Amino acid sequence: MENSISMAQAYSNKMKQFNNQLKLLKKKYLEQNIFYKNGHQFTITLSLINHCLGYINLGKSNSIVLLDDYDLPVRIENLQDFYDDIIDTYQQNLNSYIVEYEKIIQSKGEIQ
Amino acid sequence: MNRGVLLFAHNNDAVDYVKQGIYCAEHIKKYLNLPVSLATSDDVKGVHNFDQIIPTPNPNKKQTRNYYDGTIRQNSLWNNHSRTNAFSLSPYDETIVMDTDFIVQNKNLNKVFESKEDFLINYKAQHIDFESTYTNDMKYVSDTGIEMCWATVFYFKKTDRVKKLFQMINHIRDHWSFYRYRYQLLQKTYRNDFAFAIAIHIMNGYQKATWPKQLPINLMYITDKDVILNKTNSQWKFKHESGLISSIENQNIHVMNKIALNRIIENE
Repeated sequence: MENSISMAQAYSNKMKQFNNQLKLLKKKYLEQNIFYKNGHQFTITLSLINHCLGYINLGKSNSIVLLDDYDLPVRIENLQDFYDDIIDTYQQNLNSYIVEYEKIIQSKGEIQ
Repeated sequence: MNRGVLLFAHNNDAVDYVKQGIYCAEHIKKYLNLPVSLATSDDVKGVHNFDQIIPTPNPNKKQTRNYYDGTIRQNSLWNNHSRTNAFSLSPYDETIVMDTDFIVQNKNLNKVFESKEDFLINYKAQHIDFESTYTNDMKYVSDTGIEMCWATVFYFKKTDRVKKLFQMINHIRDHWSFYRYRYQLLQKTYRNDFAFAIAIHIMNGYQKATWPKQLPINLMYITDKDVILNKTNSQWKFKHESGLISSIENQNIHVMNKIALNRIIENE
């Protein structure tokens, strides 16, 4: 009985470390999604990407006003260029995120 | 516009801040590729990587604090009063000021130069064990007080508004006992985080406002109760007070265990 509890405790500690490493990785990835345009800060999210895509699909790409991270209005003269930039940054960050995520999964959170 | 990083270092019995500054500057040059200046009251001996050394007096001769290295404690002078002169001391039009124990490990801080803002600072900090709860005393300067900010890293342009901000911070520093009472701060020691938070509050007309905005980085930290187990290349391994082991790589980190940091520096 005592042995099984200590095994459970060891597993619990291992999971704690594993989950902590995942949280650290997520923070690192989210930080990289901060993007500046016209001096304003935008955090690249699916919401921002789809918002831009919606305008582009409606044929509205010139002189669009978006809200930055602080809800301040920013005029984006060429939305297609802005969209291309954010989608490129977002995909690059996702690629590095998945590489590091898979490393953590493979090592089961074990730290070398 | 010339850009650079300004560091402050005043050595004491517990910590060689100049040595930390040299180590910090190595990382800044590697990841941010920016010139680094050091404002110090100490001699900088031997090889260093500073573009400018700015002699500055150390106005504090009596304030002390406890420096922990895990469970070991040492009380020493805490010389944190000269940072408020960053505006007048900086040789740059656009300056990043950071603690010498803030280790840069990626280029994300360079995004500040894409911002149109004249001052950026963090209002939040995150312990890397995610267990140390972000308590009210880390959000606010006191129980009924204003929002806290972290002067560990900040960015400024030399504008009139920022000049006024630093004049206000200096005034608060020089009349600390009044402002400590006015803003209901419990601790007596002068702390830059609080002085900056108070000055920002006053500059905004005694209100919470959208100026200044946050830096484009997370302020991740370990405390002086956490231990550094090892460091290889850009990977750091820590053992936290709770017993948890964690590791970071290519992430900026504020290493508050300055004594352990100096050991790492000596071994590299």
